[in-house]
Amino acid sequence: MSASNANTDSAQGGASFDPADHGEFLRLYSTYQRNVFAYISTLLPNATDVDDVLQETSIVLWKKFSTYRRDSDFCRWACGVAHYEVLRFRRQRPQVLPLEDHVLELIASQQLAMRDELDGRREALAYCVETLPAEDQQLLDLCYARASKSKDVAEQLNRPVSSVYQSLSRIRRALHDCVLRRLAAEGCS
Amino acid sequence: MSHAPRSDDELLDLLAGYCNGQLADDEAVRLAEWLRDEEDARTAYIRYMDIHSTLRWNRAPLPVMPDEESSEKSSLLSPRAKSLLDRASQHPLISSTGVAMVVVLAFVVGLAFTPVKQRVAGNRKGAETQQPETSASSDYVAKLSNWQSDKWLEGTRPPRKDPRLKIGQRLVLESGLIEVTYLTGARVVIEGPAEFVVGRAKGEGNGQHVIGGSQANDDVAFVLPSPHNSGFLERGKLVARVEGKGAQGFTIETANARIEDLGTEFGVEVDERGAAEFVVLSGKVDVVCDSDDGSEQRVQIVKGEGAFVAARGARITKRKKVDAQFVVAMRRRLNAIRAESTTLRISYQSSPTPPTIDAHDIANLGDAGPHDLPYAKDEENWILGLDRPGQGQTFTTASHRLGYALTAVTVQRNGDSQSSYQHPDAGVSICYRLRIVKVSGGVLESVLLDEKVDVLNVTSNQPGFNLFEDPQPLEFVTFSGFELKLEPNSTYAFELIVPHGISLGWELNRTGDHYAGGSAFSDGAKGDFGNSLNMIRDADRVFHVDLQAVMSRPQEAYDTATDRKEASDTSPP
Repeated sequence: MSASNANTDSAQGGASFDPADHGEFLRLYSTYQRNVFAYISTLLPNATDVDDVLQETSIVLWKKFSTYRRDSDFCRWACGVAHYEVLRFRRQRPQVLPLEDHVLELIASQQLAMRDELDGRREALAYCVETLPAEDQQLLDLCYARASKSKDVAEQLNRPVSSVYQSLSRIRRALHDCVLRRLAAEGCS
Repeated sequence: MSHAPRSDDELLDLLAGYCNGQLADDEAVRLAEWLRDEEDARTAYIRYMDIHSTLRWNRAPLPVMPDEESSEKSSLLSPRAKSLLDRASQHPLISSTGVAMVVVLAFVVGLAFTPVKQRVAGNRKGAETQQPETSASSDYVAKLSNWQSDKWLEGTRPPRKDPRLKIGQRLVLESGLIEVTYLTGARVVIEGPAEFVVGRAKGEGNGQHVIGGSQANDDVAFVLPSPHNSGFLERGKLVARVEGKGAQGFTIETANARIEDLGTEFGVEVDERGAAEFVVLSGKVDVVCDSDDGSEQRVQIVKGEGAFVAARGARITKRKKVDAQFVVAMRRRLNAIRAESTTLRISYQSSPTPPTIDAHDIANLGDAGPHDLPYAKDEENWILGLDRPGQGQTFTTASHRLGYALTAVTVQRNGDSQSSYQHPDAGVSICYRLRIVKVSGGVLESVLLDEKVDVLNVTSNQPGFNLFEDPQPLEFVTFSGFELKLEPNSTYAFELIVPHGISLGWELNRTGDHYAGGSAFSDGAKGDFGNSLNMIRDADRVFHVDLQAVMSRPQEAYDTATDRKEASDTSPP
């Protein structure tokens, strides 16, 4: 049995149903799941890895919810749990980027401090994506919607895989620049 | 620790490779060193990775079906809890185990969300608990009152003999234009491709009003507008006109927002992913969206303003300036339906042969030679969505008392072999937008036509050369498929552009100042038309407009008030 399954079983078996607690958990998790997802994604570039860690994190959060102090910041608590899940995952599956644990902690704490800024950038990003040419939006849909492999997308589009990578890099760069411009313009207005 | 100094570009290149899974070992070491030693590098990293993760977050896969037991439980959920569950189950972060867990949680919370009446009546026949408490679902609340060139998904078109529409009836229009008139007096013009549900949200079709309750108590949190006076636009475009007391409060919902009429005319466009754009043409509306924290965001927008809600967005972005061209075009096409004129969907044709100049045509073919301009004057002739304005030509009609019918516009590509801006890939289409405008007093007075046409231009990829096969240099390009009535002794203009953001295009050919009845001009900027003639060029396009003198009594110009009355009195054949 994998670590994932073991945790899942213990979560389902061990959880006792207190409607008030579970309602509270669902409300808080629904509110902040996007932040937890972003937090993990920053530390792991691969979509499947992110899904795995997020899955583990959600289960651990569920199991440990009784230890969560209601007057504290749920997002910070959840990201703290996610951080340890990321560290555990990285030890199990070495990553391309050789980041030491203390660097991951630096990134993590910096990211938490940037929460408001990142919220603003996501709004700008939503606008910028809408301004992309249709073919670029289609490529993003193909590559990001199902975490498709670039190789599969390239076959589907009858393009070399290197050209898909190139296009993705170009589009992300264009979005990066667009977000900068839009935030600068908002700052001026 | 010291290492090679970095540039921002280099850092972004490494991050791109990292996200693509293409980072070489030495690049990974370099990136790791920067992240270890430089706070600025970490900031840039976090920002870039957040774009990467947001792109994924906003593109959830199709719903993952929970297991049977969970499905059964979920059928008992209040709609609000269901919505929460749906959002969770559709998301990449929740795999099947996660869905099961959330289903269980949502079930528990869902009971708290369910209004009292449903709870008392609640049983394991979940569907029954969702039925409306009135017989509204069997009522006809609207009718299909007009249509043009309409193609439907099989089985979704109402019968011509009985075009009445029920609450919950789904209209799936593949192309063309239809008009739905509600008994309340509200009217909606829908342009295909579009999916629209009469009467209420999300295609459930049950006419239910209550969509949720407060978590703190059993009070109903919010109530949908009357199903008799609302609709749900899943995708596509519509324009709604709301008049009279009965239609007050007419509401159009989209996947993540709704627009509530306060006595007005407005347009809505929903793209395939659910992002919604709202435009107000007259009066004012409220745009409403549920925020992530469950609270309601409500923004009032007035004539000329717009609002945008991204796919899966939970926030309304108000826009002070909006492009209402699609609304203008739809209104014009609606007028065309009522006048029973021919279709206005334009078509494209290229040919090395110049068009024939008939008796009433207006043309400036000159010697039709290359007439390349110096590079510095590219701005005057390029049609390119990336950074060029619309390119146009004014022309003046002659004195035939009953006016003329304009049926085609022809321009010529110049002799420059360069086309496009970036290397297009094989099989790429280019989109052209043609506008015909009445000109008066030196300003663009009214738009008669504003249509787009896609043409497959690039059949092979020749990096560094960027040739289009269609049109070839010096070929004539004709746009036709419409028929517009032009008044005598009047000035009109045609304008051509490649819409914003498309890095494909080519140059229009020109002559000297040969044509006495008008001038070449440029209008707008960066792939979008403007509204003035402030860039008159000292030249004329090579052009031809195909005109026929109107021989019979022309149809009266569309009169809004009269026409509205006629439309509401007219039943489809």
